[in-house]
Amino acid sequence: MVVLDAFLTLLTPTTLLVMVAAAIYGLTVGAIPGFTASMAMALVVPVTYFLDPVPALAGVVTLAAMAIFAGDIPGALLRIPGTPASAAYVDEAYLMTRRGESELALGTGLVCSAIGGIFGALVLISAAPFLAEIALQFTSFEYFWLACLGLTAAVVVSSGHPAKGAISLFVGLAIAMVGLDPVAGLPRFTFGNSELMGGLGFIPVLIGLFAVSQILRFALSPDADRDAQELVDKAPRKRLLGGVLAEIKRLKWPIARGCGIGTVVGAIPGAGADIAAYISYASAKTMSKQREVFGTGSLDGIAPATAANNASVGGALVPATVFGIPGDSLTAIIIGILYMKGLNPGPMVFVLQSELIYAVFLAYLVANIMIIPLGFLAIRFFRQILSVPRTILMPLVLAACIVGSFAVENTTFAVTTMLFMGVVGFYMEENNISLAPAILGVVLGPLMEEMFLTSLIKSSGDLWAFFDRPVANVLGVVVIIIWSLPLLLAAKRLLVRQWSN
Amino acid sequence: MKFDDAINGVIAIVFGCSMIVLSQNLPEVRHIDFGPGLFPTLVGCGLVAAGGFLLGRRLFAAHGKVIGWASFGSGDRETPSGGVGSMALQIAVIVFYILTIERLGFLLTMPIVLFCLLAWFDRRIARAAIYAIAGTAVLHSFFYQLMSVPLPWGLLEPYARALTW
Repeated sequence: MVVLDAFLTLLTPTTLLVMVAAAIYGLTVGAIPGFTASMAMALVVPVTYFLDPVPALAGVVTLAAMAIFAGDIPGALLRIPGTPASAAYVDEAYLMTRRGESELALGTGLVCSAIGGIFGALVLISAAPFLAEIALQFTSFEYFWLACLGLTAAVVVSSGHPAKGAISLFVGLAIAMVGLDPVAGLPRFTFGNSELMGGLGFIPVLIGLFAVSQILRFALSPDADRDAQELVDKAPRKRLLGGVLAEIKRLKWPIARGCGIGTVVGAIPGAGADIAAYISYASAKTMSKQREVFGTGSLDGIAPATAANNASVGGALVPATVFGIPGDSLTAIIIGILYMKGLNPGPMVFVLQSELIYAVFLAYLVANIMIIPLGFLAIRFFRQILSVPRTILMPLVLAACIVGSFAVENTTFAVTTMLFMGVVGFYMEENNISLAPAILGVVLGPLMEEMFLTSLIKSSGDLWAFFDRPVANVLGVVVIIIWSLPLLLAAKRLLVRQWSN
Repeated sequence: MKFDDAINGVIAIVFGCSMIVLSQNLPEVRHIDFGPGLFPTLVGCGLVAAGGFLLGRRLFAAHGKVIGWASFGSGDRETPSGGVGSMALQIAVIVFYILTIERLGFLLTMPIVLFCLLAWFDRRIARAAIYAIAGTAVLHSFFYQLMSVPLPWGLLEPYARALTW
């Protein structure tokens, strides 16, 4: 009954219009090389601020689903993945294009993306309420360890060395600590500036880290897409879905595995769509009877990987909505919007605002069904999308960033914050310090500190109390094992080296 | 701009130490044993540890080495001459926007910002002027008219009614 009511709340003209607009925007931005899904999301957050919760959240989940798929289009046609999520199989798809099979590569990718997305959405709808019932028993101890586990996983699976992932995470936590502290309400790191009392705004931080940093990087090589535009003529002109169904039937089990891998990997904090696609591709190759076809331009690798990257978004939304722990940077942004809309993620949202949260889940399901017709159009209009030079697009995007940051807080201080975070993001990206742990730190920092201090006050400073409850005990031990593992491995290597000498 | 990992490690250590020092100077709260400085201190220690690890990895295993300690352009991407200037221009126009938006207003500041960027990157002055004006009009219509964001009018305050549709 709740699901039906939720579905009816989706069927308003505003929500449907926002979903279609978000879909077109997501497909366009995702198809432009160099623009990431996180960047697309960061740019649209100021707009969601002015919308009602259902259209705002339906719009962002639609955008996430579309942008991930759209990254496949330039990947297949130009060998430039539109988003990092498509990087795993870009060579396979491009080799097919060179053989004149771009229609088959993109058509299969389109249908598999929809299958993966729908699978992820169904898992989300069925698993999240079940997990929420368990999570209702959790106290601040469990939440503290869950947040630790989420952030630790984000560091471990981030691209680059884990030490850089840790730096990124601590930078994010430091950003979250500016403003009033959660227990005593005293100003912290405000340096006497009243504008900092409320902390660094989430939206300017987001736009700075994900969008301005990319624009600054574009300035270093503004002509990078010149070759790409000359290759646009490779875009498909023939039948797009010809032969696709036969291929999907042939690859049904690898695609099913890709869906499963994508959903599970997506649920692990920090491991986003890109990692899901890499693991799924590697798994398909390992389990295939025809390993020799991998790397020669084969659908055997493309189909499961593209299903996995779309399924991962649904998987990532499970811990995001049930525990408030984001699975990747996209869901970290979605969590930020949930908070902004007064829909505090956690098990209570399934009790108090069940209709609203189911509406978000159903919007994600509908968005994945919409991928097929709209994705088809995106492939058709790809030439037009790419014909806009980035030398024109980037200045316009920067202008949108400035106005977007200003719009939410109505102060130029937000633009200053955006610029500062843009420079920080630029420095981090240039030095292979992944941005994902930082944004997870920004989102989870306040929750983690509050749970840590509340637990300490409850236990009168007794650290053993963090391990008293069974679930907290298991989570705590797992976190400590993961933290100790690098030291233990380093010690083992040292001992082996000394022994061999 | 890619720095040698030794520099990245030192930056993290300095940032972490600053956090620890600043956290120690935060006021204590009566009746609360765990004050506002506890968590930032732990985060500062984490930064120092991670930075130290990066520095150690660079010094003892030569990982993350960059010739000349810092370089523009890395891996498969070469930075053309003028790239640094382009980046500086982007930062300069944002600073210009911050400093002049209240005085000049959105409808005067944004076209200047857009024109500078478009003329620099696209190299076609007439096209840059058209896109700058059109881009400003679109942004103003969307945020001011549709979203009701109070974008400053500045010098054009007396003409606000005439410029609003």
